[in-house]
Amino acid sequence: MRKIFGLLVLFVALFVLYFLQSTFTLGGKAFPPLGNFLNPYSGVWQNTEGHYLDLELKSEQVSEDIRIIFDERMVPHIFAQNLKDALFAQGYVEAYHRLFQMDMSTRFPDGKLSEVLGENLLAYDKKQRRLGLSYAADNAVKSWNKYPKLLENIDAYTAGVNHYIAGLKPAEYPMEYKLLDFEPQEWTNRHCALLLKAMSQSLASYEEDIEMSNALKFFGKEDFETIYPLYNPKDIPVISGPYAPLKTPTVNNVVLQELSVYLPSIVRPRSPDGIGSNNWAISGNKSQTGLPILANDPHLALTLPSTWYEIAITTPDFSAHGVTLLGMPGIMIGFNEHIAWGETNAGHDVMDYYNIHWTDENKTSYILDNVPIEATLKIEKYAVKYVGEIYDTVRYTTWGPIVDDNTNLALRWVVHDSANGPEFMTFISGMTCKTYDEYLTATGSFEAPAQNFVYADKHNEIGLRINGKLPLKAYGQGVKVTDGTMRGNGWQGFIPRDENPQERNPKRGYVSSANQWSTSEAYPHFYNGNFEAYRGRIVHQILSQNDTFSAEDMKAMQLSTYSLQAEEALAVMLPLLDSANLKKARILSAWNYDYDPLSKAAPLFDKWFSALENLIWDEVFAQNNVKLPAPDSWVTLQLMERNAEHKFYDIQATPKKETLSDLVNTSFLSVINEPLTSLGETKKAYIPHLLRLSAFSSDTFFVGGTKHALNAMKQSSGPSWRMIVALGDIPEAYGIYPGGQSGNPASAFYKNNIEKWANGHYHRIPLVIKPEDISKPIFNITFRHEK
Amino acid sequence: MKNSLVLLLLFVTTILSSLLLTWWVIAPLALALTYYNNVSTSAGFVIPFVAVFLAWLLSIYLIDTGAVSILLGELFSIAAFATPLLAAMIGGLLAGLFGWAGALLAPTSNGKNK
Repeated sequence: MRKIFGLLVLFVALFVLYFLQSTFTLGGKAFPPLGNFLNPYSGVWQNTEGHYLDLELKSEQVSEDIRIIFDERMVPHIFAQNLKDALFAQGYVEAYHRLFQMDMSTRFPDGKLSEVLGENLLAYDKKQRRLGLSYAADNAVKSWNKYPKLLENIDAYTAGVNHYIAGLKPAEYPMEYKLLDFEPQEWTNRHCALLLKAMSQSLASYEEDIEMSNALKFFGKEDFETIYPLYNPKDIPVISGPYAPLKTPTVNNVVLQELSVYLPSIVRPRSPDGIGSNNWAISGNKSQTGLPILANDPHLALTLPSTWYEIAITTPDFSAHGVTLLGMPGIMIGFNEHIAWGETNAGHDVMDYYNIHWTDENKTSYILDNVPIEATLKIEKYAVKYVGEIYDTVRYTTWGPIVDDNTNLALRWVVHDSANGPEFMTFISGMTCKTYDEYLTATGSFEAPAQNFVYADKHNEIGLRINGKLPLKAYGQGVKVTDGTMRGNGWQGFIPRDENPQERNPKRGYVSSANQWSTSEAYPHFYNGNFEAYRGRIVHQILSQNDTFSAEDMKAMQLSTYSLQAEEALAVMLPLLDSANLKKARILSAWNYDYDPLSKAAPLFDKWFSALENLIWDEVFAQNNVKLPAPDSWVTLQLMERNAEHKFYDIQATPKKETLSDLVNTSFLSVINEPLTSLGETKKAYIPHLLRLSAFSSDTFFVGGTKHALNAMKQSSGPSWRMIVALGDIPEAYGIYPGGQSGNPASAFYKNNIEKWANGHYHRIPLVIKPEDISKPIFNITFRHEK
Repeated sequence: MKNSLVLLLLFVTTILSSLLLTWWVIAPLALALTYYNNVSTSAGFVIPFVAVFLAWLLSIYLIDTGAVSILLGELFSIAAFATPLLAAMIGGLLAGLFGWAGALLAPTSNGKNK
């Protein structure tokens, strides 16, 4: 009897052991295998950081010794004897600090999140594969292989990542692997391509083709052009012109199809609202040092670990410092002994939908130039965690993939195209340049997402080029869905790179961009896109002053929370209030238009303007059966400034014919009686972890800013890296990003910079050329060549 | 005295073997030690439980600087100080069950277990 009981206890014990090695769900919450996760010898406790020991490693893949010194901010300084060894070390240190982030950042475009996160992510993965990002990465790698000698640089980076992965014991896996119970995957060059495609998805996935087509049908041409104009007359574009005569003729032979039926809206990727960036460079004439100063602050969705990783690379040929996008070798935004560089998003629409005419119900072939063409069927396989393999078929047409089988729309996206040059070398070669000519050549193969590449050097040159593969379009092409039955309706090639808008050493003494229109309407090639109407004008307001500027002035600009939109809107709105309401609006009339975290006027203005927009555009927002695009706020403001009376002011649901004054007062009354809270309290800014785990995310913090201010901080998106470089024999540089170098939530370097960043502090960044110049190293890694 | 020796032995072997082998090596260790040392059925559970609980707790206190406890506390919505205890309880419970099974399955020659 006792033995039977013993066997029963043994059975229970074995079951408990099995349970402790299995994931489970309790109360809708997923739990890791508790034994694996919580044991002190290989579990999460091993992710404790605190004692950093010097490492000496060997590899056949490095040709000479490499030294990596982590400074007091945990920034790695790589000292290598050649570029390939430096990139090997870059791969190693990025994996060392951010392996999980790199892994997840590639699973996201590759449609492989469900492999590690389970069935809940399958629908999301399918959408990603149907967008063709995985297909795009395959195309990129194929075209990269045409440059075997240059590709050795990427190979070196990949080898560095894999050297780190190969040396990992399960106890050393990043915490999230233990939590989700999976293992790191081998890194390949394709992962680097996927990261570039993920960047394009964030920054070059603007289009509203379906909604715009519906809007044209709903409103008719005249109203459509009033509500959705292509250019903002108040804008000061990135490149103001005059534009040099172009060799490529403009396109004018595309007949745009107008729809006879409304198109159903489909879920497509959208860049988070408020994403955008600023950059500018002033020449020596406008600088207090007599030499150029460059500033750049890319605004992105903020995450933990941070998007950026700070790194310094020194070889006998160059010393560079800046930030890198994890998984892409080279330095994306930074400086070296001679030059400084940075980017903002150009915002052009390079993503167009074509309406396909299928020949059969099964959608196996479609009409193109009056001839049936077979669609290519691509079988997508998903290895879903706990479920197994699931298959999906994606149809590819001459335009691109059918993103949603419920529609007949094929996607033409520049991101799918094979690269025409060694695009992967952009940020590798870019960090080694000494002159603008070198920099233009080094970055000339960059294709997507198109960026405003800003440049300055110690030889007193400044420049800016809208850099990327921009389609040649007929006027209006790509704003709406295009007829996909004729090849001639496609893009007519691409703007040759030397015809991309650009300027070098302009007389006004500065170049700048803040996601506004690239050019004025005078630029001969048509483009459309998603452009910001105010920040670019603020930069011009400041830099066009007859004054000289210091690095401190540049900091003040980046931190400015002044809103030109608020100033211009209130100049129209406040005078229209009746006297009783005007008394209640004192807080707004006394406001300085700063989105300070303590300001109560700022959130009040936002609510009021939003309520007013809803009343003015009731024709747009009240449509339940058809989705129409929201008009831009500058269009609302332009309408109010130009028209005291307009048919759009009439609220359709009321018998009365309203005036603008009626709408202004009604909208004001709808918000003024709500309790006033400060911007900081209203916004509740925070930075989420990649997995949205609150334990690994930041606490909420008070911070100012708005999407139309230079400090374009929203709740969880904003300036993801602030950098200022005053060029000179010894560059004076400052930078900070909201996070920390380590991707380990248990590290003291995980989110150590958030508070400083939120308070407007910068780190002084010395350009270190010799290892001895690092005053307080934390630890070293040395790589020895293994024979 | 014997029980104390078994406890000490299991405490030490838990730490040493877990550094080299998988964490659940505590299960066969507890089973074997109670099986061959002829401990009572109640001691069969308590000794491995206490030995592994203490070994894990000591290991965690030696490893963790506090950061992981805090993270786990937030992750599992419990007090941070309780997370090492929770982890050690899991190890102790597993070892205890295997130890209990070992004691029950062991030959009963000395009559102590009757």
